[in-house]
Amino acid sequence: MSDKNLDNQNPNPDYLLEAQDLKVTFRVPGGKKLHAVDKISLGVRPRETVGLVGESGSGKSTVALTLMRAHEPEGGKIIFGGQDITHLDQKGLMPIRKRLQIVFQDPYSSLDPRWSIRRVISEPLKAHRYGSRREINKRVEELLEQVGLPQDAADRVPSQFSGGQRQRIAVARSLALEPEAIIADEPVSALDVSIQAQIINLLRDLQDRLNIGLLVIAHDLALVHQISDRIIVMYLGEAVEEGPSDDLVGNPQHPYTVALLSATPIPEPGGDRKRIVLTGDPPSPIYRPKGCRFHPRCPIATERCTIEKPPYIEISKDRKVACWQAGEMDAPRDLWALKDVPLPEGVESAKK
Amino acid sequence: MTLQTEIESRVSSGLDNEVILSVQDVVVQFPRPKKKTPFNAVNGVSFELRKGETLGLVGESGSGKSMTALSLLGLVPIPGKIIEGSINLRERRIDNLPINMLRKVRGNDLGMVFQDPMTGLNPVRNIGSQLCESVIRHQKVSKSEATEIAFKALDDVGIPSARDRLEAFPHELSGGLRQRVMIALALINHPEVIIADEATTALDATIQAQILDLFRERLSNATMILITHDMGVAAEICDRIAVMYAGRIVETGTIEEVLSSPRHPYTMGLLSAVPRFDIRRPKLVPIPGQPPTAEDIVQGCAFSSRCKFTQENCAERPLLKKRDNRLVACWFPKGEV
Repeated sequence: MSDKNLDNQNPNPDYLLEAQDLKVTFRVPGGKKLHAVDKISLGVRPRETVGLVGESGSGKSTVALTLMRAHEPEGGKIIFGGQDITHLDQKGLMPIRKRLQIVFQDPYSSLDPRWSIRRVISEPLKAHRYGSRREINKRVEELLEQVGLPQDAADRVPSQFSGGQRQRIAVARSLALEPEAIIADEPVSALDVSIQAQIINLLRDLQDRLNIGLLVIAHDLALVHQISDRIIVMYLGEAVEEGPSDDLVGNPQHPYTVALLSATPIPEPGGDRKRIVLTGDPPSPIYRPKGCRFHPRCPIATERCTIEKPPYIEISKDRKVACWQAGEMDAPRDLWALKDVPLPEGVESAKK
Repeated sequence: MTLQTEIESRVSSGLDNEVILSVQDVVVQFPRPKKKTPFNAVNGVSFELRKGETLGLVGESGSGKSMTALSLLGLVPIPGKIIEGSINLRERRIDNLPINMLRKVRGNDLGMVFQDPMTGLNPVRNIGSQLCESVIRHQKVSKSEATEIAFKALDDVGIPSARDRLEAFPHELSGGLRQRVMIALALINHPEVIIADEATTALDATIQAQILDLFRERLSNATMILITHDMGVAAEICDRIAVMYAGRIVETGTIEEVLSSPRHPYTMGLLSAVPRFDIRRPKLVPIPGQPPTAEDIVQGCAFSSRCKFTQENCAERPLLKKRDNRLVACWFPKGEV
């Protein structure tokens, strides 16, 4: 295994949106530093969905906000469409904002309660001088239709909509300027199960139709697997494993990925499967463990893991892992399809 | 399944054990100042809880599952109240008790684990004093004995260096530890029934797994009601589940049965809408539309506007009817159309 391509300083031409060794720290009282994101590198190709998964405090939302330039990175680069945007000023960012949009987690706080939906959706259009009022109204109508909302929604206010409908409005707003990439930060975690599926399918359809690169940030591995082409697993500000979705979930290499997979509750009958339960809590990003950041909770940590930090190495195409014991832990659950078990009676699954 | 294994599985799932808690046609009503008609958050819910079983009340927001749990403890928030039905703990009716009697029931007979330990615990008092308060209120013990009981309770739910934690304040503990304290608090007076309302929802996946593990290890023989929106969590620890929709139970059965062959279209819909690590990655099948809100007045089957099997009969409300081992409230349940 070789340590290649990890210190590349040139933008990867494959990627539409790329983070190179991105590092974000926050000052906390007492002069200490909180290492929210520590040298993370990731890329989203055009028309690709990448899932970024991790628990609270893993730094996944900080990655999203930093990519949007809402936080200033302490180190590393953000590259969009081949252009280094790490230090662009607000004016320089304007054309980038048009091409890169974000959908936030909570549609109850991301929409101004006093604004009409028309005003919410047309705000980006006006900011970027999309056209005359008539053209803007026409675009708003188009967008409402794309996200499955009725035309008369335009003249109502957010409180007249349910959570799922509000998230559709947020999606419509993000689509307004026909972006090339969208970052979705926990787009469905505030929603009920039956509504989650609506929004997930909406994102998937829109991506297919509009050729958008999508970075989905979520804590739910099953959900990320459902929607993503590739998955990156974060722990304490670092990427610990990445790979094509099915391979990462079916053949996890990092013990943390294995544990996360085991910890995701799935409504399967037969609750007697093997479980891996990690001990303890994730450590604080202010006082991080030495060596591998995961070693205090790792069931298979060795002495080396407590001293030496494992490098993030490429084990095959698109497949990376940072672990001295990579592949030493078996996947805890057989994938549904591999088990050759039919879905429960009456439970449907549409074709892809 | 042979007869013997069937009997064993029925016993282990508590199906033949004595009934501890019996809820009959409970209606919890809230007045709506701007409208003439009130809103029934719980609209005729009946179930039985048998000794040693874990019953999952599963449903989405607004389905009435939490309000059902609160009604058991006499905690329905004002101005809501139970206007119909009865709740019996063994032979004793507990839904109409005066407050001083109710206080004895809470803690002694029914222990509650709330969703958010940050609001369930008092932030300005240490863990030990909160546990001791509950012990002293319900058991005739001295302060030092109560402290000892509190220590054991913390130790019992897997809190490391439990003795030191008695001095800790809630904010000094992690979310997982706080939830363990909540569980210790619910268990400390050995209640007959434990009610856990979304006890793992606020936690991260790996911490949730720890708490579920704790439930499985320490509470596998407890008589428990688990309220959750997550079928996956229910699958992990419940023996039986009751699926709720718009204030009513629409299907109940053993967890195995309901997960492997759901009969009510809403249960089928819920199970079709969750991702389940299927590498064929089929598209999820969402349930169209929205659940009815407090604003909507529903005639007939509340699910009919979202159901694809709806026919004329559905304008009339289907009652929970026994079908095989299950209760299903549907005119056209799966397998009979």
